[in-house]
Amino acid sequence: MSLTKGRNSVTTYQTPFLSELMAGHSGPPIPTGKRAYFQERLRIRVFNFLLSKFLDAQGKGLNKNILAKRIGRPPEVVNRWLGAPSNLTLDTISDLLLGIAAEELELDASSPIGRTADNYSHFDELASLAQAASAMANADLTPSQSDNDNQFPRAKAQEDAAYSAQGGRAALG
Amino acid sequence: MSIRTEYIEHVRQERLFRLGFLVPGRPEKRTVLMSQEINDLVSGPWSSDLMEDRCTRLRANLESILAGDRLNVCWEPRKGRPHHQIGRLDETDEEVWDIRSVDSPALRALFRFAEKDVIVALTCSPRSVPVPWHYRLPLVRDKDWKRAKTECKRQWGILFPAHEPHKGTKLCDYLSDAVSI
Repeated sequence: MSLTKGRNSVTTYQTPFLSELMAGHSGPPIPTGKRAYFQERLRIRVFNFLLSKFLDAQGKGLNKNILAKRIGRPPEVVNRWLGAPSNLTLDTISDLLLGIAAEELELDASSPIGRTADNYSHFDELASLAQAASAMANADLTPSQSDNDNQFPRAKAQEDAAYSAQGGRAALG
Repeated sequence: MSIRTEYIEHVRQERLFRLGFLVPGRPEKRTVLMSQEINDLVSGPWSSDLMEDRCTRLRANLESILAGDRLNVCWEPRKGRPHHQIGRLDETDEEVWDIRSVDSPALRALFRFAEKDVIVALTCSPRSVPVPWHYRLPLVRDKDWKRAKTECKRQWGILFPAHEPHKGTKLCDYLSDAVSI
């Protein structure tokens, strides 16, 4: 099984990847790699969720020792739970969420089939900035500026200028 | 030519491969570029179920970076904790980092930053035990790490002979939404 499909050098392609899922209950077995991929996604998601809750609570004075005491576990156990996604179980997730935020997990699920791609791509944004900078450089070239030694610093400065001109949009948040 | 123009050209020429989501729906808030070696691992084909299981988990780890998830980073080399997803390697001025995929058998993908939030992942090695499906040796002793870093820097030098990797003094110089705890 390969996930590779050329599409402007993006390595993957949705439909083949989800083909067994799309086949419904009478479809072929879902390959081990696909199940592993979704298992890992869920682990990462739950772990990041808990870690984020813990970091928020840390700002309000919680630490691992207090948390350990609150849920009746040794600090080293709490440390291990918050150490890696693979250390979590349903019971430990429940304990951590109660101890960290006095909350319980609400469940929801949705199919990965048919999701539309988000339009934002950090890479595409950088590529369009580079293109804009290149266009500016070509438009502004004078004989003295066309000297090879000067091209890189000028192009980089113009990329930065183009970036600033677009509001210097932060990639995240 | 700026490094940005160069890596875009490498993607166009398929000397580097741009990671995308297997399941669409999330914005790509960071950029993850991969060597052929890493692209082969995370895209298949795989020679066994074990390899497929492990490599698709690695892919999920890389996609988490791509999605802009908050990253827990080992900022001080040799002080890594199990929850660190990315780490800066000794010597820090070499600007070689690793992505830590901790499922068993643990893997390390060595990379450098081309610019903030742009990761160029070049090599992948098992962390502690050899794996039958990948040729690189585990990173057990200091000399193993040194060899892996040298290979990472060598591949960088081929791709970007005129450019040093991105350098910074603070974590936020390298990554958005990252913490070191």
